[in-house]
Amino acid sequence: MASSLPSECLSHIFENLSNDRASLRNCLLVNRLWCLNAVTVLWSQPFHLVNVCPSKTTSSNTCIRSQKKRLIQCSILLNIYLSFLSKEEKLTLINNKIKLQQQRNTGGFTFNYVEFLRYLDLEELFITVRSWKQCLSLSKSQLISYNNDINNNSPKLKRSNSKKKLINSIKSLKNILSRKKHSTFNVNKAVFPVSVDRLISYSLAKLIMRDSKKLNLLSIDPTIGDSIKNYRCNCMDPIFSIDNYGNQIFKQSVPEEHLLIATYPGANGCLSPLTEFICTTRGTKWRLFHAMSSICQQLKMIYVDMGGYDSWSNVGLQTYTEPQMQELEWEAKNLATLIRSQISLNKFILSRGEIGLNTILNALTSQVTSLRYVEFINFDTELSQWGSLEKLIEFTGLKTLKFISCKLSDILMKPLVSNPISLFRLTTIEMSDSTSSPEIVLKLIEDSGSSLKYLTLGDHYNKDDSDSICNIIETIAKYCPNLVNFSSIVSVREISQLLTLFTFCPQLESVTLRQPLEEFNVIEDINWLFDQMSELQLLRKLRHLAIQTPWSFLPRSLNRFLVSSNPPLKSLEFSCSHCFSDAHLDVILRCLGKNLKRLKLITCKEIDDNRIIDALETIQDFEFKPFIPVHGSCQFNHIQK
Amino acid sequence: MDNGTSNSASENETITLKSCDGIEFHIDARIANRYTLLNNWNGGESACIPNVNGKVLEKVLEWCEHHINDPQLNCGDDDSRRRNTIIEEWDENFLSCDQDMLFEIILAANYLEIKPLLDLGCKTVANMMKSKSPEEIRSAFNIDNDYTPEEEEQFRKENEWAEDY
Repeated sequence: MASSLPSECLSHIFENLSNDRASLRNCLLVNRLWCLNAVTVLWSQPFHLVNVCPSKTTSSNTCIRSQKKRLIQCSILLNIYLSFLSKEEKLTLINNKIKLQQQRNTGGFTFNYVEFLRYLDLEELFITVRSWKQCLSLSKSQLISYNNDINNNSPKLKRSNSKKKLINSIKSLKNILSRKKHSTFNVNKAVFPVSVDRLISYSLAKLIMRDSKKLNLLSIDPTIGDSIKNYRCNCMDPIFSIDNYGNQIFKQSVPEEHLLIATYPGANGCLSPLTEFICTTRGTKWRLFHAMSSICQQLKMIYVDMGGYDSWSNVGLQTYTEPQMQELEWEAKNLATLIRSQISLNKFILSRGEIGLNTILNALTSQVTSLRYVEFINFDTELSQWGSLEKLIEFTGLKTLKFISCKLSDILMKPLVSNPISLFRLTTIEMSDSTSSPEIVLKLIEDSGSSLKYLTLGDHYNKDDSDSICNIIETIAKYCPNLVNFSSIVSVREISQLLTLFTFCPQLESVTLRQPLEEFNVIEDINWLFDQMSELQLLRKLRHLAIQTPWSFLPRSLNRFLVSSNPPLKSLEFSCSHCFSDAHLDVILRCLGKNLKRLKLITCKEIDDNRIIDALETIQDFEFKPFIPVHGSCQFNHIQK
Repeated sequence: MDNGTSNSASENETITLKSCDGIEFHIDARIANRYTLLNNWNGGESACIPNVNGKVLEKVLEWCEHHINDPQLNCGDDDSRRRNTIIEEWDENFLSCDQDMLFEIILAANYLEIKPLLDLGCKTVANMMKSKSPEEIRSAFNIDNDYTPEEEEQFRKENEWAEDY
């Protein structure tokens, strides 16, 4: 029956496996029709797939890939790409003392795999090139010991007990060895010029611009692709280091010359269908923006970091010299041109763009009809007057507004809420780790009213005014009846307001409550809250509840709530808990059982080993950390399934 | 209202759909409007759905009815790289039918352009393929191997980098 599925359905099926290289490869080997449909998905982002962790994309929980194995896989992949270089390009590399592996000529390959590339992250390409280089320096004996590693340490192999697989893996290894034997290089004696990775990645970037017909995403992102960075394989080096000022600095691998990629021959055709552009490198970007603005008009998403360059000695201090500010202004102007060239931009994410903010926001007004999502990251505008968000009020179609790790001055924010009749109808407001005055947050919430569904609040309350946060929760309860997701710091003073919120927001599916730092050891009794919630049968749609506070409640109260409101909970978290005990766990296992998919416990009460075993057996994703509260810091032991 | 139910049909209005084997279904007009089931309606008493038999149409309509209030997704939200393979409990139970029926539902969803149901069906099949060798996939889905041994070996080599041990 599966053979009767048309190609379009097969493609659709394989797209669901787009982060699972092994499954895609297996599908490709099923038959010819499957191959044609799976090969395009597998090769649409090979530099990403070769570096992602199989444990994060498949059901297995542990990563069994060794670093050597990753290096070898990177090397095999890269050698295929290198075979598609022209004779002249190969010759250039050879003239630069780079010895290439003897490969079949490209006519020997079934497809021109470069053509299938859709998602290109230059950092991932560069990491792959570096791994290729590292692999060349693995000696033959190391490869043999790697072979033994496979036999001795691979739990999957032992488990599957598949002789065939074992034979295949040994065969493929022998294959590598014999190819190495016959290839032109002698790995131990290979002497590379320092710039070998630069030269190779430069040649490959040129090859991609020439041969790949259609890129959907171009990314130069040391954090590796935003949300997909979580898939990074455990066996890779850490992606950030700590600078002199204690800031996390993402290691930048991509050399500056790669920012000229849009000027390479073929870039016109390859980049014109681009829909996503991520550029968070700390290199000089204006040339890239300039070149792209004449090529790309289809962008739906732009994510840029507009902070200082790596080469500046004051990076990390958030203060710039006059010439540096002019430089950043110039970059903002080029970004503005790129933004204006777009036909319909949906999503814009700006990291550290305090300089040139007005230039960028002015340009965004050209996208007023299409823009739905705006996010600001790492803005610090408290000390300086960089500009204001006045222009944002023109974006009447905006649905999502996020501020992540921002310090937001009133000068920046006030114009956003100064209009007596707001045209904003936001469905999502997020202010994670951000500070802003409560009046502004209040007004934003009020203006969004019944449209608001997802709300994450940061540290937004005025410590001198103890009533301010109470107003915020009241405002939400009063104006936002359709709220689905609520996440906020909640002080003990406003617990009573939660009851109002839960009463007036019956659609709530996800609630996350965090403690203010200064209340790390305030053990407030919330039994009454659970009792009231049970009495009124509140939160009947709740699927996720996280109480990350030391508040105290009895198992009896929890039980009453779970029985009378009967929420369809899938995920529960109790962190920093001073009360959570065996009896609480019993209640959860009894009332929710296998319906609960995730439970995270961080409690200073001891939990009986048998109960933990019960929880491990019942709940798919169970995590338990005992902690000892010492001056606000926690000491953890860790038990995880 | 932006949840996709803002169409002109009222709650009580019903429409008759006829499957290719002549079985009639009386459904809430909102379902027909939401999932554009009336593309083939020529204005007669009932709308005919060719290519989908009664048994499959019944399942498809059951799914549509359950999901009538789901928010409609924008095309821009659909990035295959960020797709996850988590399936809601109701949907999982709904699709725990025999394999033939599952493929029939996918074909019907594809034909009727019910994208969320097509996604769901494809996700279910994708989950069935995970952690299976090519041989296991062939036998699970009853597929013939039309590769020559040489071809198969060549593909194995060319895609060796994606192998897991």
